[in-house]
Amino acid sequence: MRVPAWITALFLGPNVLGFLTFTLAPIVASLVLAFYSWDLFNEPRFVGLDNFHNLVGFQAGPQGWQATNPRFWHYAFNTLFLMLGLPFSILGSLLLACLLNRKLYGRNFFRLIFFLPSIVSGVGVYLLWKWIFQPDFGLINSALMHFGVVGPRWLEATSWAKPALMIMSFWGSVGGMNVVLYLAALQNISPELYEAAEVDGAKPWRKFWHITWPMVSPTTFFILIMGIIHGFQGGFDAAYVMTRGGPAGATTTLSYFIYETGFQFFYMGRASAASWLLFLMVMVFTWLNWRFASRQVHY
Amino acid sequence: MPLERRLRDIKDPLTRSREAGKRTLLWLFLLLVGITMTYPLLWMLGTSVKTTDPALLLAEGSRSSIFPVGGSILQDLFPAVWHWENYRLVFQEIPYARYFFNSVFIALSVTVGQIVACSMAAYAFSRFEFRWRDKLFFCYLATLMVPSTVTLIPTFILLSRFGLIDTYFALIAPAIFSAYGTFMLRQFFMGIPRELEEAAVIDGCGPIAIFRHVILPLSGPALATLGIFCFLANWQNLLGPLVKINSDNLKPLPLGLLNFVDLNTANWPLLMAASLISIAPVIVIFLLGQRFFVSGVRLGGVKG
Amino acid sequence: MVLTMFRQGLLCLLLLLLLPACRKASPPHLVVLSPGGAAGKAVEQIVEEFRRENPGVEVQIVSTPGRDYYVKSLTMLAGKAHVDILWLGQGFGMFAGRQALLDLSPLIQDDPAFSFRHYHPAVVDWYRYRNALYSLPYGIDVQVIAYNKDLFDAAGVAYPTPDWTLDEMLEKAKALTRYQRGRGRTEVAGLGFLDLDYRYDGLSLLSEDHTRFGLNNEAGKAWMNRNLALIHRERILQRGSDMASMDRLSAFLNQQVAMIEFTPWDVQETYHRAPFRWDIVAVPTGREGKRKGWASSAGFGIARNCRQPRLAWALLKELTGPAFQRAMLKTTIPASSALHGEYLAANAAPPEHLSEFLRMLDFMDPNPRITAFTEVEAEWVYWKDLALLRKVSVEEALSGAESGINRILELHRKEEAQ
Repeated sequence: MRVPAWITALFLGPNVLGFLTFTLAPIVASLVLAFYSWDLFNEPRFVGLDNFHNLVGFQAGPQGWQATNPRFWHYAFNTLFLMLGLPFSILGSLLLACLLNRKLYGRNFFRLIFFLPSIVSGVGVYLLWKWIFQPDFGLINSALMHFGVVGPRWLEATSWAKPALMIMSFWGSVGGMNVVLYLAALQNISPELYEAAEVDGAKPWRKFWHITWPMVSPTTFFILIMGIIHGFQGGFDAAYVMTRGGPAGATTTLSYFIYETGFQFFYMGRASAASWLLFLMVMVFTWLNWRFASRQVHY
Repeated sequence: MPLERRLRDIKDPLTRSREAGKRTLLWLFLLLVGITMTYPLLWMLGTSVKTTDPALLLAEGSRSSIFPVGGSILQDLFPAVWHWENYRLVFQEIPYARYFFNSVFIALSVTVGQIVACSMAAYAFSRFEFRWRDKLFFCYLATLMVPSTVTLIPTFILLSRFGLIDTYFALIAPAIFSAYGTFMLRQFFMGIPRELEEAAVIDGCGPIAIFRHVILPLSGPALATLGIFCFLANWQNLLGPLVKINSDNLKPLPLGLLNFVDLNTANWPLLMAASLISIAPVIVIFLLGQRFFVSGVRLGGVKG
Repeated sequence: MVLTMFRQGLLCLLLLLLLPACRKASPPHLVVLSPGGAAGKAVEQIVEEFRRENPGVEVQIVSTPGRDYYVKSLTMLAGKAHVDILWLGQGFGMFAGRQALLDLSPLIQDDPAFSFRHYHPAVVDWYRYRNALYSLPYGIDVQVIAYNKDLFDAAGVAYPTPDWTLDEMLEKAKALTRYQRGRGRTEVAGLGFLDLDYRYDGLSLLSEDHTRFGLNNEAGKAWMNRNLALIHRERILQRGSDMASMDRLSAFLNQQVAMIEFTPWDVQETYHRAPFRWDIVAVPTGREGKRKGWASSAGFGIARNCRQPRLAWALLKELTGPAFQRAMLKTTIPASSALHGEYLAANAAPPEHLSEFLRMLDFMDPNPRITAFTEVEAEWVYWKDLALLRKVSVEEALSGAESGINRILELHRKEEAQ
């Protein structure tokens, strides 16, 4: 729709103004820091690309070219690995939303129950999960013991720590925000579409695939993009409270690495450089998503 | 159409009983999953009525200990004696009512502000045509990608230059202009069929009138969703208040609850009791927002 | 309905934007950063007295309990906010090395009323950095071994004696361990330690002058191999999480481990929650007959950009003096030896031999208070975890830790030279 400039300014002005001052300004400032060496107390010193070289650079070593910081790549891998839970959580949410959108006895009660895990957060719940995963006496391994299975060491083992965190975050996210978003989207689907399909004798699965899925695609698109953005920044709370990034860096994600580098090791410049790299990664993924997924989105 | 529908609704008894069976199965499935989901909440409830008093512990046995041995984690969920007085103690030990008020004030202000500011911007992004629109929008989106850890100090410096540290304003204003909210509402507005607006334009409506009379009335579920999210996010926000608030009487709940945390330990029963009380308003907001999600009453007859 | 709500919302938003017009009253004279919890309560009490004695001086306490204390204090210091006095724990080295703190020596020289007799001399020395004194301690934390008497009795093992040795401890731990081979799980582990501390073998993480990694040698290898045997082969040692976390103590309280490393801040919690008989004993003497145990301390310092050093010094003296130390008797050992009698009286038995804490004051071996210690420690934990999880060989881990830690130390030497 073509509108006069003043109307655009009226609708957009306040938001853009607030956004520029409170959101964009600190972000730009933090990105500038990426080219400085700053220990938080003394004056920042310009170091050019040193911070980036320290993170993703390569240097000649005895066995040819080597990454200057192999652990950064490891942490990037951890971050991506933890995001593998995303599709399951999105599909689970859509399934739950479809079920909870039906006429069902105690529907509002169920919606609330499934929503609860996402509002119960904080240190206590993380510690509880630590006990659930406790290898000798924890809830999960005790249950497995009844079936004669010796469970894994979960958070204490390098290869099981990440799956454990994925289970935990699936529990926390499957019934939460995404279900609410899907429920709101399902309201926008006209019942007549389903009725017409029923007249044609369509099976539930076909109705889902040909009506529900395309009609909620803008929401799926939103959830996917936000999920990727949050996924790249994820894993901080769990690492901060439960594992401190261990064992041997197995649960250190980029966001925890950035916190550690900036606030524990006092390399604020390097932390800023790392977050700029993170930013570029998310940007590329989001752009790809935008290019390829938006074709599937039905507006 | 209504006649056809009524005809279809008259089903033979066999189909109807099969459907009832399916529905019961589904219901049981949901109930089972639901109980699993609430386990940590029950644990919080159980812990909140436990005690740390050694004399009482001796009398009541190990069931009252806070982190029971995992093998009996189900049986020991609740103590032998429920110490409801913990809920009273919460109000005595810390200025809970004050923290509660601060949280409500901040979260409600941000929610109201965000719904207004973001819906207007989202409408502009989804419908108006102007230069740099998509670039500006992507810029909004891009800011979501920067982790908050590194913006913590610049934000603090910015706000302290304005003399805004240790004010409500520092918590409310920056949160209102949210890129997340703008993006979310834009997605919803994109999904609203344009036929309605075209009809309104023919009737001589301008963009402001369309926004008020077409878009907003149709966006109930979307605005309710944003409202729930925004309230929840600000209700739980710890990092923002942590950096921006110094005075005790301006602290919101997440920051105030830290009073039950010591350097190496915590007062678990009181911490859990306080957390449980703090969940209540979120539930209220959720139930209020829920009224907008009543299936199939809003857009019926619009599309097809 | 949506529309009316929207209109009301618009009105509220306008009102809100007028909010910053209401500003606060005059700024305080002194700002104190407090870590909350028990120390926070003591700070409030002492500051209240200070206000009474100095009417007209306004003191603001900024309290941030838990681990978030560091995020808060660092943000305030980095943002050059008004900070005068700050609480300092084990993180002292990172502040001092970066010149974030004010040297107290000139203030002490100008103050005839001040005397060091309220402070343990060895612990005061921990706060010296390049001829400057950056902080005063109010409390000392040392490490002892706590043991579950019920489990000892059940296994028919004699209680530890004050002069026990490392070998005796391991023997007892072995006798206490109950492992069900068929079910693959440990019912009771003798030791609930992070790992067997290298201090017990008389070793140090860094060389004497803190310039190099000190464990990449035969002694270090032997230490690592013994830990591997204790954890994986004999299953005597159940690794807990780090000292600060909750589950280390919980394993002991739930009688899954018979002995743990124990600190003064654990006393109250264990006293309140342990449903069994227990006591504490000093750490064992090592192979060479020497005894060394982890130690730390907490105190207060003055920020470098403090505006009124004299006023801050007056409050700092109170915040580390006898009154404050008395207020903290249930959490930490007072820095003044004159108060040690009161310390023993303030904490009821169990533990029966609380004085074992005081005995450990002669065997203190604190973490090196160098600028880069957090980073060095993280590097060490990374390689140690890899080795103890058998992901890399002991040799690989030790040489990896050596090159990583030496690089960090060298980098910091260069930074400080600049």
